[in-house]
Amino acid sequence: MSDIVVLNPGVLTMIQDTGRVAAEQYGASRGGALDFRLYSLALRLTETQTANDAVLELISGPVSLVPHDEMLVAVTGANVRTPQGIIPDCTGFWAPANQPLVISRPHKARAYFAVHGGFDVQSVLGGRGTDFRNHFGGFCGRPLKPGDRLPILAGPPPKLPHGRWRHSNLSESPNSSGRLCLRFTWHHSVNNFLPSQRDQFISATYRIDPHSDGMALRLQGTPLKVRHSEDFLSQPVLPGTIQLPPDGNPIVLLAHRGTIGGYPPIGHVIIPDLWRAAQLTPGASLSFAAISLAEARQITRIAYQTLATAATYSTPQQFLDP
Amino acid sequence: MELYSYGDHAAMIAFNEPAHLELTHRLLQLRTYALQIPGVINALIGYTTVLVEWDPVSADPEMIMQDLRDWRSEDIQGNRPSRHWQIPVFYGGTNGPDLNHVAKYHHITPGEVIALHSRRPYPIYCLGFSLGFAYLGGLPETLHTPRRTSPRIRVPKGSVAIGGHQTGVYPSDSPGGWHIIGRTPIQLTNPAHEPPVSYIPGDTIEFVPVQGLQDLNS
Repeated sequence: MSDIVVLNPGVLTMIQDTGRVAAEQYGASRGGALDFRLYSLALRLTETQTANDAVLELISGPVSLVPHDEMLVAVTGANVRTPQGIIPDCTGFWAPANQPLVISRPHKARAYFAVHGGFDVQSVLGGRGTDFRNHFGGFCGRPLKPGDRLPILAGPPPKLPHGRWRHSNLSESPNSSGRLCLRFTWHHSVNNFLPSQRDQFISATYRIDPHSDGMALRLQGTPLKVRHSEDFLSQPVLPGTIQLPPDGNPIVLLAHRGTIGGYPPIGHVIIPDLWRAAQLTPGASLSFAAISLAEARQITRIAYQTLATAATYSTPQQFLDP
Repeated sequence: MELYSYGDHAAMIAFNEPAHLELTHRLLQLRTYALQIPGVINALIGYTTVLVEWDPVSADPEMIMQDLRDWRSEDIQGNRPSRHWQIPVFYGGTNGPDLNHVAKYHHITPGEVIALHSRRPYPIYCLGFSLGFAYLGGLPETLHTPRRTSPRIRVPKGSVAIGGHQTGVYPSDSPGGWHIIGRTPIQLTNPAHEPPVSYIPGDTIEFVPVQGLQDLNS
């Protein structure tokens, strides 16, 4: 069994996976990687089985890691500096033994580091991801520290020949210039809102508040004037639920949310747009577009199928200029 | 009972009645029923609601909605019998830095706050916020206390607190805006154990005042 030593952990770098839905009955959140698209891509580029689906989620850089042996790794959402040169975003590559990999600051909000075989950390409550708030899962239930030795599971020999890189046709990120529009379906009780309030919600531009985190995107904009019923009883909520607190600034819940929410929901962002929303940094702007349930279901299915069927291909190494 | 879509891969079942333990037992039945429907991956209980989530790729939403519509409550006897949990609490002092504040707010003595808060069954309606955090009903109205104006960054694990019309115990260190009146030395959760929490919705919790050595010596 091999391992990777953490030289510089960056800020709040943690092991994540697909989340632990079964733990939610006990009050923990599912957690997991927030940008499932880049997460899946990192796994694919390292030929990792889904059973060994623990990766590192990075929100800062640089992060420096030293593999103890030569191993197939991939970074999605950031570049990697190695002694041989700079490796571009979304590349699977053979990392040489005992040489540092320096992962740059994520191009957007989050980047992923995967290793062939996956991290050998214990599955707790059905997941290997870090539950930072409840201090369990991942590596010792906490973000990485300098000197941590992350054990790697042995996998079947990778197919990627030495000296070559692996890419995917998903690697080209969608044209992300301009404002992100999150598609959502209205909440059942939306008729409690006036048509003018609904119009305001879908025509408004919001900015990401700096207090946003893996629990929720907090939005700033022209507050929605809503008549709030004093006796709203807390209810279960899901990632994607858009809540409206009394101050009128919407909140989009993410995977690390609490499972019970105390504010009235106004809508539900579709899953693939949550992956994109998780890449928004404070100050970024966004808007909302209402779609039907049937459209939402179709878009979501296609998004998952695209990830599941994306092909990978290999090319010769071609380091970027520093 | 009202059933409606909750986003594109979930449905909410809401009961138009106040929260009470008998309803919680029906919600537990509905949860068990829902988890047996093909494609359903999660079912979460609230005070008067159950949120049912299914696989967004492979599940058949229309079939699941129809199955949920067909659900009928069975005899409650079929449920796991409710359990009653006694939780020892060191009230006041460094364990409960806000006990005096709560007493002053209601113009009663700290001893009266303890007497009112302890030795009564609190129903567990749901779990959420963090692993093992129980949303309880039944706080006596005389103890309803507005939340702190600024939340604490860190409420120590085991803290027993009052916030508004609610009371509860924090199973792990977390931020919180409730008034801390005591602390239990009991470890309430163990993520490595299955289940990680002993109590479930439908059970009751009772706080039992205990004295620490420092109290006996003083």
